[in-house]
Amino acid sequence: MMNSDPSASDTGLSEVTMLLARVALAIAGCIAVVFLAATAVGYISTVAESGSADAKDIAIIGAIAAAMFGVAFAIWRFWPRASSGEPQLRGPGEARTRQRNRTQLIYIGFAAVIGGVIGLATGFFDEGNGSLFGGNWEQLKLPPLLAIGIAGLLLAGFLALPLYGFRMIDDYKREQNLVAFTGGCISVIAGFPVWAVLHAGGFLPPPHAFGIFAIAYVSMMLSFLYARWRL
Amino acid sequence: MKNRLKVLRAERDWSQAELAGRLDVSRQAVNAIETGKHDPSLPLAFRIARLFDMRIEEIFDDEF
Repeated sequence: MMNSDPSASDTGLSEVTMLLARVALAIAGCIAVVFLAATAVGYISTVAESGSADAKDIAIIGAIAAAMFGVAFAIWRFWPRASSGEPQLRGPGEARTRQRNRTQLIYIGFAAVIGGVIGLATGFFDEGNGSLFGGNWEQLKLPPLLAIGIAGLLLAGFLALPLYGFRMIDDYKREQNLVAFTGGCISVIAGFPVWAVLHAGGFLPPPHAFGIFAIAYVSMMLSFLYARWRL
Repeated sequence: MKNRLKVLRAERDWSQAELAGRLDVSRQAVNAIETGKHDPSLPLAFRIARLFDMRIEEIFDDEF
């Protein structure tokens, strides 16, 4: 347990690190927006070529638009923190809290960069007609070495980064994240059999891997928002 | 669980961010504890008690 005041030497980041944080935030935001915009344009053009848009197409385009809005909101929200001057600190605790927030920003920026690199790589080097995040991943064709590299990045983004993040956060935020992960996990465990039964009854198309992934992801985000609101 | 965290913090003229930094938790966690939305873990309760040089039961009370 830590009970001592943090020293002045470990309370802040240098100007160079601050500059790097701002650059990382700008790059991450640009990559994320470009990736989402490219995905949206590609998907809309595919829908336009087919000549008809069903409810799934509209839902996917809506989700991409919502994600773009989310990225824009995050940049608008985080940029003042990353680019503002240094207001007077009232004590060592505030300095440590500021350092904590900066570390969190760098973590989010790094995660966004990984996501952007994955999206851009699959978009640029796809030798088929698919999309990793568009639902038609069966038609995605990648060079083997690139596929291994992207798999490594996906493991880093979906496994290593969250586990590392869990070590950084406190009990309160850990509780919120546990609620979120539980929501995502339960939605998969319940979602597949429910979907399969509804398919058997003729209500839905057969269960789809991307659909299950999307349900889990959306459920996780909704559970997190619920936890943020309620806890 | 009710607690005197906000009062103790105000007596020292500490902001939530200041207290959070001294406890090595997020500012949101301090806010949630102060408003009674979140109960701290036992290690964190001990850290809070040591920081204010008080006993845990002098800060937290589940019989309010």
